[in-house]
Amino acid sequence: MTADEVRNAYDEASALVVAEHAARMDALLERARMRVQGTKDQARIDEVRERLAKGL
Amino acid sequence: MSSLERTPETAELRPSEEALPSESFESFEQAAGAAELALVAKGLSTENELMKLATKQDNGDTFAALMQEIREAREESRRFREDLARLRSGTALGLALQAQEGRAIAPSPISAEALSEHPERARTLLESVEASAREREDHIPEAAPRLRTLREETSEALMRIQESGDSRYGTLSMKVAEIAARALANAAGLGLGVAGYDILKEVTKAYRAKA
Repeated sequence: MTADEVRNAYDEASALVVAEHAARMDALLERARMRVQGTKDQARIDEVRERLAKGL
Repeated sequence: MSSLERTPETAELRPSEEALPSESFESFEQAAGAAELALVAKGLSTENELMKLATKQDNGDTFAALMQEIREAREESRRFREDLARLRSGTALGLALQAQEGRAIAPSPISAEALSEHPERARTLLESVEASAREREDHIPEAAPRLRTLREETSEALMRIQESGDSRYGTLSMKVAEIAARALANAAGLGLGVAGYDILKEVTKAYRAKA
């Protein structure tokens, strides 16, 4: 085990950790955006249903 | 006699400035700082985006769900930061001790003079030795007594650093630096550098499996 091997192992492992974290954060954000969009869509559906019920 | 005042079992305490992997260390510390910064920045920007979505939200249930997402993001980031901290600790040990391991008599891996000039590095290394010794103590019963002694030495050295009131950017007194160098010499004799390298391999394997 040389200093270069240790350093290369660190670079590889830390890059994997940082990339996995970034992917996880992106996934959380995407899920949140879909949730917000879902709420908007549901509000729009409720509005149309209400108008149909009133015969408008 | 304090455990820190006795002669190291596996090492002669002598200056070994040439053994100090200073350039490797500085470059590693820079890389580690950049990785931690990238991770923290990504975590905070994600939380910020989630907060923007939450504050625009009229629906109470969705608002509550988004706030939960923020807590989740914070917790995930904390977990990933812990993994980076393990890597930092393992690498510090690997770099500091690798040159000395496998020798019948290990010289002090980093001279007391060098530790005196880099108190933060001394603290990082001692904390890494302490954590690694604790971990191995549980897994290698036959080495447990020596590892326990090393852990006690290291804890005492860390306490002395704290008590000495050395500032973050100051220097360590030579007496404290000598104690730290002696603890590192004993750590080299117990193969903790290889243990540090093993941590890197273990984390890489775990993350590759996730990918």
